[in-house]
Amino acid sequence: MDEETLIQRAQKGDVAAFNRLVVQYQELVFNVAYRIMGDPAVAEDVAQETFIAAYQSLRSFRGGSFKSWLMRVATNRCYDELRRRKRRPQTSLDEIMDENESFAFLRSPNDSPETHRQRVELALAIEQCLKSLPDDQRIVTVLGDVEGYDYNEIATITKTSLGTVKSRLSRARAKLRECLQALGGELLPAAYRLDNEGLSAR
Amino acid sequence: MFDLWRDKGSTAEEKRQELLSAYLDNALAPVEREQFETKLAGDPRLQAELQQLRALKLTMQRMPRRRVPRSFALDPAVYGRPKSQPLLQLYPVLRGATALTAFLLIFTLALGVFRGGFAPAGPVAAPASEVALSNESMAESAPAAEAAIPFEAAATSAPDLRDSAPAEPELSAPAAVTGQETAEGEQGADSPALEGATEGVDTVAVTVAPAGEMGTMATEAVGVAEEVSPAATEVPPVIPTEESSPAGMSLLRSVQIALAIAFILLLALFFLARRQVNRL
Repeated sequence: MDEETLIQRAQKGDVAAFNRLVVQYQELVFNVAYRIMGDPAVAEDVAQETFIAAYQSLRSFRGGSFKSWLMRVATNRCYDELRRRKRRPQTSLDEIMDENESFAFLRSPNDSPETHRQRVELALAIEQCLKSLPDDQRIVTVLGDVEGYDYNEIATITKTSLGTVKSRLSRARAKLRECLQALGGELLPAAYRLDNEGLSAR
Repeated sequence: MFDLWRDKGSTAEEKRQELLSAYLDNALAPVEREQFETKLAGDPRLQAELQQLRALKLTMQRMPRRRVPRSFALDPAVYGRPKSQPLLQLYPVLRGATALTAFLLIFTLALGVFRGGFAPAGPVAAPASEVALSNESMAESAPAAEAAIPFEAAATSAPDLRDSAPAEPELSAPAAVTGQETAEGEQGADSPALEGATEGVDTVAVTVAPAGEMGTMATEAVGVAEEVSPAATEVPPVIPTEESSPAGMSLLRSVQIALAIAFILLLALFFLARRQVNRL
């Protein structure tokens, strides 16, 4: 069954049809929420709220990209949660290091132990630096650089102007660069090397 | 809408970074892109900076995704049918209706101002034409009418003249009675004088003349017009003409009030619906 049919059925009250959409998009929604909120437990709550809100407001979806529409719902839920908490998620590197189960997903089959260690260090550093960004800058970075939305899509999702998206993304990147260099000067060149090893060039 | 304010205060360095960032994302206009590439070709430091930015973007893109900790599927027993949100569904309609009502309200208000600007001429012109319909009073009333017309614009006051024309308030009364019920009603005229005023048109004409000569204050301008209109009591056909203008104005006023109420209600509903849309 194609997505459009699933949406139409879900709009008429077919929860099973909606749940098929959930299965398709839950990894995306959870990871976006996780990158924005910085906390997996909070991301879980936000992701669940997103799907509940999406189902209840499904009749207001009038075509176009369902993925973008869902992203807007998720981003709004993140904004709500951030406002509720009124603090930027800040977790120390040590606390992140304690989440042993989170490193398994970083392992690549061809990795040497040293390569894997570098991957883990880089992932932790990026998480740390993302969390240090202001909320608005972090959100556009997650949508743009992590999830690959273009400027127009980000502007639609966050309900801001194109100029604001450009400005926030640029400032976020400058801060991330400084942060990564502060945490470990070789991270970026290492990342660049890591990216070139066995990966197709962009 | 207010994002412009947030972008104010960008330094030259920030603008330079923004240009670099937008170039990396292929978000520059063709002319800007060309200019940037020309600059890039001759600046190794800029090239190195672009390379670093590219590396950062690639790193972010390749961040691995975490597996979902559990399923986020909804329980059919709990979430049965999606809850109906009429405001949400009516949002586009509300938006259009609010805009249309606003337009109509502005239009009727403008119409009211436009018609109100010509209102003083109406009662004067009407009695003037009414006078033409009367018989022996015509000869005396016409000059009075002609005298009255300039006084519409007169700004001088002549309380003495007013005193010398004791019949004037009585003349104002019939005018109010004959149907200039809007602003003219402010004259506070008394109707009992009506019957006396209808007798002896000559007397009326004579008294109208000095009253007509009188300079007018704001209310007296209308009073003068009303002085001419006593002739209207003798010319029944006149009455409908006089009444159609004020009736039209009151109808317009009613429409304006109705539109204003409708606009306020629609605007409130529109904002409620917009809040629901924004909370999606």
